[in-house]
Amino acid sequence: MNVFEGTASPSGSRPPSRLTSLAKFFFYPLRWLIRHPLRAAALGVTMVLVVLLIAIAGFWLWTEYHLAKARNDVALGHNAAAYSHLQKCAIIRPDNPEVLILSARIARRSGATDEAEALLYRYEGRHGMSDALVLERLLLRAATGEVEAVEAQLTARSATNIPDSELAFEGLVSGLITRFRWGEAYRHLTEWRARYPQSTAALLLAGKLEEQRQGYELAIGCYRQILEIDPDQDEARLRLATQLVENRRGDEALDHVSALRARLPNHSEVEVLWVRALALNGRATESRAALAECLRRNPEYPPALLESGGFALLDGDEVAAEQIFRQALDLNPDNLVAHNQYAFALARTGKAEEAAKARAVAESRKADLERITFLIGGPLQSSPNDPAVHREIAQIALRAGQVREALRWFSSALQVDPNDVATHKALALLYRELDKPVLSAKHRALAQRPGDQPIVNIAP
Amino acid sequence: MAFWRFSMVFSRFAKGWWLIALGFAVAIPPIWAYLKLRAAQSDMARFRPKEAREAFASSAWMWGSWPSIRLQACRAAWQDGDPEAAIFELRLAQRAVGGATDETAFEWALIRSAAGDMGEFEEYLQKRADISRTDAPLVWEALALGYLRVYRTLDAMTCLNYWLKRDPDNVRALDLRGQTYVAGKGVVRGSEDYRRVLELDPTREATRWRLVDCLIGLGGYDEAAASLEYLANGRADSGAVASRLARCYNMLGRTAEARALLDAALAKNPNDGSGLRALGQVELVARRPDAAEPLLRRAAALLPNDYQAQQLLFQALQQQGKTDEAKAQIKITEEVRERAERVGELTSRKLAESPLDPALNYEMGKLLLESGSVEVGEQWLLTAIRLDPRHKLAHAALASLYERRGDVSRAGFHRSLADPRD
Repeated sequence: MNVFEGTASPSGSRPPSRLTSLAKFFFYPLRWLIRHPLRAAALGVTMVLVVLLIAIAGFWLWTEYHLAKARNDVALGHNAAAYSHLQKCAIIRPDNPEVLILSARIARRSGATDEAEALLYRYEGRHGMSDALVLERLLLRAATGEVEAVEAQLTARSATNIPDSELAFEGLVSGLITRFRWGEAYRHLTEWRARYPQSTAALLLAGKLEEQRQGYELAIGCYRQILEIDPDQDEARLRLATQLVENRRGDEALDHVSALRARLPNHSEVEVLWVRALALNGRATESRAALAECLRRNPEYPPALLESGGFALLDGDEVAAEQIFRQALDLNPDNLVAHNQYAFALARTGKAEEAAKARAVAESRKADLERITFLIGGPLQSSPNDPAVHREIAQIALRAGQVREALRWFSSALQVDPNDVATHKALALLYRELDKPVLSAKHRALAQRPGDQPIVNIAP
Repeated sequence: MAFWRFSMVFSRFAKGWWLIALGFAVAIPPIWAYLKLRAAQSDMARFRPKEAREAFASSAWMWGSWPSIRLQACRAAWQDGDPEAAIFELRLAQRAVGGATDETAFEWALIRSAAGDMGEFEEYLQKRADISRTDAPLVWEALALGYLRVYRTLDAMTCLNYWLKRDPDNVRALDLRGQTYVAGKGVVRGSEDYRRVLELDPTREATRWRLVDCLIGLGGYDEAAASLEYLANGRADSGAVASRLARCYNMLGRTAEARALLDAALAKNPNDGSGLRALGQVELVARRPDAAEPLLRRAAALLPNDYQAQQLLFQALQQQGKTDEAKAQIKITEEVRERAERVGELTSRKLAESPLDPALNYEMGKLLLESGSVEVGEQWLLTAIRLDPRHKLAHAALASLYERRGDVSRAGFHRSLADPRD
């Protein structure tokens, strides 16, 4: 019997109705399935396999596409775009070695060193040791301030013509910038830019170095140069826009911030820059509306709160300003501007005693900041191997509540002098406060060198 | 006919029983080994490493090739204070697993730390404790054991207090803190921790022993006697129990019981130094110095670094009017006392404060060598040299030690560093 059987009925019999023919036509596959179950099963399995294969190939091609995009974006320093592509790849292939390495690289560049470390640990667990892992570990160690430990290896890699040499330069220079070793950073940057004149990564780090040295015009020049080569370099544009706003060049800043808003929607830092750029251009109403929108999305973003407090002061609402600055300070206790503004708001509300206290704190923070600036620009450059300089910066950072930064500076003090007793003592106490008894014990023991007095007086 | 039938039925039954017996013979050993393994794991969970090691050893024929079981046996060994055995077990585990893994690396760090050599593992272990809640107690335990081993009591205390803050009724942590207090001469607080451990788990014999020693040291003879009677249950003639219990009875005026106990114990082991000392003391209390003297002489010979034995012998000689011998004995007694006091000062305070001072490590090694603990003393001297490779006194002491041993090359090496003339 075939599909036309019903229509070719023997003459004399009653012709089937249209409905019956239609029903037969529609139920034919079911009849076929019932009559040929094995063939049907085989066909079904084949179809499922084909669909599966197409799906797998589709997903594979989709992730390959995003991976290629991410690879390209990471190479160009377009970290935000690369991150978005890598997130898509990670849905299907979370343990792909390249996905893990590139994600770690972006995390490192963004300052999320713990996340980078976790990703590299995962890579090692899944894929074992490889050259890519070794390189990324070296770069991460440099980024976390352990530049002395990896300097020789990164210099060796940067001297070769392998594709990773630019990455090695990046690690070396960013590590040296982290440790404020400006002279060496500048020397490596010069060599890097001589070999790769179009390198936007080199220009970006040159800009950061100039910012650190307070050479803001030079930094602005570097960022402009990057944007001429690669207009999609968001980090350079963000830094340029920030510098322009800080230098009250609102009209120029507005264009850059506008471009950034289009590329990085809902980015809190960009939104606050937008608020400030609008205000600098005299567009106060738009600025206030933008700030309200920004605070609606992220009500605990300290820079936005500072702007809001500033507007409250302009409006004469000192009570609201005081509350807003207090909130900003609670969220970010080491912000000098917030301390000053809070003291000012308190004075305006008639709370003289509290205002004096807040002013004293602000003065102390200001003195610390000035001392750090002096130490970094002077003694650290002239005597980089004096542990006392590193230790003093660490202690200032500790006073400002920046524990991580303090630990980094204490660690660099020990890198230049592993036997610096005062640093060991400070670390013993700090680790005890941080509930890390093993490290506290280690440094306590190291601090108790012959001829020194014990620092812990807990008799068992 | 009947006999024939009976034998047929019997033979069928016999065949059945044989099969059952064979089944039992095959099944019982693995079941027994499994039960032993479960017992070992239960002992581990209850912080009884000694018992766990015994159970692991008796089930090793069945499960010994399993790396995870070897690792557990390794852990039991270092927890029981036997790092050499732990390293042996770890190597077997590595061989079974085909190389080093994350777990074996962790275990290696724990062993080395528990052995007092935590220098290169501190940061790794701190990190591990920070990221894993299950690993953290192991880290605290290994480090506390290691710190205690090298008398870093302050550091041990820091770790243990941290552990107890998170798990206040952990018997192992309390027991170790008790030991730390006692090592730092805080006997009263140590005994408080031991009492708490025994409240939580009265079956912990090692802790009860430690409590007994604390109580005797503090003069709490009543309570010590009660604990010793508990320990003596079924083994009253055990030398260690008998000598301590006799001492308590003697101090409580139960002299006859004390003497009976010691007579029974010394009949079994005539060279039990502490038993002889206790019996000598009983005789002295009974004003029989002539009877005490031979006992105390043997005790002093068997326990040359025991201040009490030397002091009691001096008393026995003095009470008998043997002035010359008493003079000679008081000199020995004073030497032993001074050495014990210095060791006590080093272990309870100085080393805790400055564990990396080579001079203190040297002094500890020298005192131990003088008191006959040659191997431990050698380790302290080697540590002194590791801390300061140019420590002449430590080199000289080692040179003398190796010369006495006949190890010419090592002696020459240290002699050259002790007195470098070229």
